[in-house]
Amino acid sequence: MNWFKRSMVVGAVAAAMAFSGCTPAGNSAAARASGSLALSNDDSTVYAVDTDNGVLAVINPKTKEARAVKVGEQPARVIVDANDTVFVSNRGSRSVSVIRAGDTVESARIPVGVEPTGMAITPDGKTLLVVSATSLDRVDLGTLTAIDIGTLEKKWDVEVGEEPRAVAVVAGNRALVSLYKQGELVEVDLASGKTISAKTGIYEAANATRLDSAGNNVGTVGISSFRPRAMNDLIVTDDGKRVFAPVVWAREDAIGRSPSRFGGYYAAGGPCNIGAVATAGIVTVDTGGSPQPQVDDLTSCFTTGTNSSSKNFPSSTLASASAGADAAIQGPTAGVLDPSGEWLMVLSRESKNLSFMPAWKRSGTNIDFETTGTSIRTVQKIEGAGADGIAVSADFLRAYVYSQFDHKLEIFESKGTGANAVIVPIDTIVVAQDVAGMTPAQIEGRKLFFDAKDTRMSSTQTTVACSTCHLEGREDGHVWNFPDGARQTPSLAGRKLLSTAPFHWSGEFGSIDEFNAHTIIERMGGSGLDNSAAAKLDAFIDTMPLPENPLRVAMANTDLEARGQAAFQKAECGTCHSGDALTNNTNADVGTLRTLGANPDNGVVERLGFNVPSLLGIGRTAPYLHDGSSLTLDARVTSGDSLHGKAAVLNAQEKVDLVAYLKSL
Amino acid sequence: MKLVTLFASLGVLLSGAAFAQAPEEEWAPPPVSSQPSLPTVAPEPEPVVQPEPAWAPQAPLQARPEVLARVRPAQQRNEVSTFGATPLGSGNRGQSVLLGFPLVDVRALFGVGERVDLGIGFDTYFFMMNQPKAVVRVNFVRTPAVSLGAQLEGGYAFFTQRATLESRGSRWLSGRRNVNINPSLVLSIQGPSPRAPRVFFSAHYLLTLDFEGYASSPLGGLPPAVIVGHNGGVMGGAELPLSSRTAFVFRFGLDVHGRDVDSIVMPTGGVGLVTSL
Repeated sequence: MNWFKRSMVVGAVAAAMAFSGCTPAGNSAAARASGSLALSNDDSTVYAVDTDNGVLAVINPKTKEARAVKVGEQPARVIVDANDTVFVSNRGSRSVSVIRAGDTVESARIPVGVEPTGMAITPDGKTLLVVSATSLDRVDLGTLTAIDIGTLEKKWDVEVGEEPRAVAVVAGNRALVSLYKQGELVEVDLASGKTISAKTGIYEAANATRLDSAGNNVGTVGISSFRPRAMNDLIVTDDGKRVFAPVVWAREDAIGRSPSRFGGYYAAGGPCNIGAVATAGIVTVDTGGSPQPQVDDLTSCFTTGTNSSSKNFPSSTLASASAGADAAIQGPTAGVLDPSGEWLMVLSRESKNLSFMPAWKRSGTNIDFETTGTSIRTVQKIEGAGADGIAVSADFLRAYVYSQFDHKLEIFESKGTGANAVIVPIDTIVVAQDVAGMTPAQIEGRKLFFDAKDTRMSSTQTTVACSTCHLEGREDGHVWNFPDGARQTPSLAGRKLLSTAPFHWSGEFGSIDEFNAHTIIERMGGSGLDNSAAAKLDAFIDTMPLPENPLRVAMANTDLEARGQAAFQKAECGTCHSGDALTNNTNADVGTLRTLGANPDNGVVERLGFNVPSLLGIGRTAPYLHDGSSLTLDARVTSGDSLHGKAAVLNAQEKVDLVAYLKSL
Repeated sequence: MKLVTLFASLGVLLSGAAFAQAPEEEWAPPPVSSQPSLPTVAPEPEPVVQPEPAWAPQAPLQARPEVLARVRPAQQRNEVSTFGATPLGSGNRGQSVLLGFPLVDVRALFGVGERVDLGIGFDTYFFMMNQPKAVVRVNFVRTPAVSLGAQLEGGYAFFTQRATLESRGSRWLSGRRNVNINPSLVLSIQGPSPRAPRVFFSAHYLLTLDFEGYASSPLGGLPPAVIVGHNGGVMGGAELPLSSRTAFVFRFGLDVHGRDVDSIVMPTGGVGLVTSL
């Protein structure tokens, strides 16, 4: 019987091999809701946070009944745990609201960092993770906070980088945190609450052709490079082994003026001419031993390569196979996976649509129908403005979308299957009203600001909105190589913009209407706004609040503030940065003009220098100067050009005080 | 249909060959060593002119019979079959490796009764689908020439790729899914010679249970937790004895797949060895 024993051993080994090494990654029930929407565990209740009204709307989709639970200021996101306890991140209140199942009032409010947004719950259901844009004592570093769901006590928090936004729990008891402006991921060990790695190499993967082994740019003429940013959400598979991050790719190399009048000069120049200079995309990261970005090399024109069909991740650009205007995609805000983990859905606010793509493949036949050249299989139009919440039912027969600016929930279902399937809206539920704090003009202006489909604002070839670069009305940390030189996106929020004419880094536009007309028509390719619409847009821009700043209150009336103000005066910063907006609205040469290099400054700045920018909110707008050449305020103050104020007269302590003061503005 | 006709013709030819093949050369009894005794008085023989033989007569064998028997024993009939219906017999065993398309089939059987064999096996498609399996074979009809039996194979298959990632992959080619239960009816025909080929035919049904169903269209709903698949097919081939314990085997067939996400039909085939060594 020895032979039989041997046979059994061989069989057992074969079975063990098969079990251990040949099993595909399971993925039975992926995250089904994201952003401002969540579902109860039995799908009977839809939760939507309404940012303007500061409420959690508890909606019965069958009866269309909605009741409001008051939460903190500017609620941003909502998540539900296994016990149907609801958590809401209050972006304007530095807190998380806790609402027990069935309650009509919040039962607790947990203090966290500044501008909390992204949340996640660990698989054991015991810990809530909350991302805050800044810590309570620094403006340049955000935090990830772990909260015990049983006691609602903070377990730990860790600084995770500049402007973190979303969090996903991944395999190996780790979390990935997205950096909103930098388009990168920070890896955190959840057991220790320590950072494991500060980056995954997304930029390097997207620009591999242009970079040498040391990461230096060795690009040749005609090869563009792209930087990810606006990483607003993270969508994780149920097994925690893959994460999808919607982004907007921003072109880094020189942008020419053509094809002005044919879509604006933002119209072309996306990755391999897919989309505009700012193109929506999706970054896939496999989270094995260490996070590995699965990203197309956008500088090698991946779509014309021979290997795209063998890639098992979605195309890194969100381009629709349809050339129709409704199918263009811009401004991804949230995403979900279907319960089987095969379909990835990305909600895009600026293009007002919902795109569906296979999560694990790019092309092929066995997901029932086939297209080529893109991962997107279906794009569904959304009526509401400001969409930032999506959820799908457990049976994958229904999708919900929440639109903040219209305060309404849209419900979609599919008719037919396979290639013949058509998604149709079946219902709309308005859950709140416009707030009294915003005028009708401001409300309309906000919709214009975030709309990439309005042909007055942007051509169909371009499909960009103001918010595509001025993320949330702020900035994106990106330096654009415009025809007149390298120019960083300035923040518009809370800077009293209308009182700071002239406009633009060069100050060449004497009025906001001139500036808007140039940007909207020449750059974005829109047909332009009439006076009424322009006034609405201006009204909104002027009303955007300054970003929250932990130091603004903490430093008020302190010795540090007094010392900082003294240093500000001693260095004569106030000579130019004066008045309520901290600008004298003139041009000044502070020694930062770039006359050499690939894209030198040219035009009016050569004679007059740059338009003095406002310093309001400067602590959260790194990098600095018109070309982003100073990465931190410390660097600018300690080693700044002698023409830029008189920082050289300050001693070391005064420089420290000055930097602290600037960060508190 | 041409393919089916071709296989049928091939099977008939092989069957005919199995019966028509003459027994292998018979070993003559050993020559008698003693010469017949001569008469004491012999008549004068008529002078006869003998023609010259066309060939020289062979010299008589000198070896003793027992030596000859040890050198060239009588051949035993090869009845070691793992693909046909011929049972191994109680206490006997047989193993085989079939290198085929789409599957490689490795199996080991053991006769637990005169008509019942049990075994284990392993099927793989380039190690992208790996299926350990159990095999039961029961013989119903057993004559020296014909055997008829039923066989049941069952196992759990592990796939290295997600179902949605495969395009013309192991699932599409083989029709298999996570659980595969494969009953078949097998007929074997073998001629009387110890080395006569053993031709076999089988018809099988394959029940599959798929635990990896996926949503096939946006908002199209989820599939059931278990998707049942029904497949069928026929096979024919022969085990060609190389010795009493080892045979070369080849097999051809045609599978018909019941799920529309698989190939409609798939030719199968393979070559290998069957042995009881």
